[in-house]
Amino acid sequence: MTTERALEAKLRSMLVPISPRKGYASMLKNKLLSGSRMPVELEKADRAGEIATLTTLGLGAVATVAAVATIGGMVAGLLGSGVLLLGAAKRGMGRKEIKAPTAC
Amino acid sequence: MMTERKPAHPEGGPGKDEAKLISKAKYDRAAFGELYERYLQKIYTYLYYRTGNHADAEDLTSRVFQKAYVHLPGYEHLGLPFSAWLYRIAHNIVANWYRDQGRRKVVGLDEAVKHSTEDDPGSSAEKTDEQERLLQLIRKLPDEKQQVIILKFAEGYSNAEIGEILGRSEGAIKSLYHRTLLTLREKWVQWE
Repeated sequence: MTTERALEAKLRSMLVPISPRKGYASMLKNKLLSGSRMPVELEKADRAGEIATLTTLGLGAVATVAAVATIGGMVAGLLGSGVLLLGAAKRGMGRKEIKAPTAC
Repeated sequence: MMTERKPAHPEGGPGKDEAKLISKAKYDRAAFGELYERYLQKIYTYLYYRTGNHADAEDLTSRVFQKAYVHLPGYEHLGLPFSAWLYRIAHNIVANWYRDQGRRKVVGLDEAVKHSTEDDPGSSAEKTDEQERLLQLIRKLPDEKQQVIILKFAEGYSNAEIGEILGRSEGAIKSLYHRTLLTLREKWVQWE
């Protein structure tokens, strides 16, 4: 039966540091450092990108709210007109017909 | 590719030298290159054991250092080792990777297996099987427990250093490690 100590020994012998495959370290270093921008510049660009994204999202949200409000207004207008028409029709139906005076 | 175990802080611990290097790296590519060389193997080892193969470890290592390069100007040296910041980036990247890919590999670790074969060819099959099994058990542990095991054994960090990296006290790490070891042992005995 494996004791805790024995398990620790197994872990120590099996989990060893691993190096990347040949050529990877220099390839990645070149890729990282060959860019024309320094970290500070990249961060500025990153922030500008974030601001642009947030602005776009904000404008999109405003446009959506405006569109919803417009459609809501139109629906309300139509409903209002319908109610008025119904009211007018009801009043029209309740009216008594006035006969024209007959000639003597 | 196996390499010899190195001290957790080859540069002699996080100190003024490292703080100066980090400040310089914000404006100087060569300084960033030095930081990269200092921590590449540590981050790579961590990601290799988390993913189980070289291809994914390379891809994620590249993402970690690219992110570090971009966000370095926002880094403030508060006395914690720079590696803690890098491990946190690595941890978030690997967590997102698992979430996005929806995969959790339990095969691979070809290099680790090769290592055991070279050590003792006579019992290589048995050792390989044992090693595969142990690594599978580790990979099934919760994230934090995997981190503790990898940082302790593959990277050679002490409980106090792991605490700094994970933002926990030394005592909390000691307790977490003990619980992890008990869990692993229980599962290992079942397998035996």
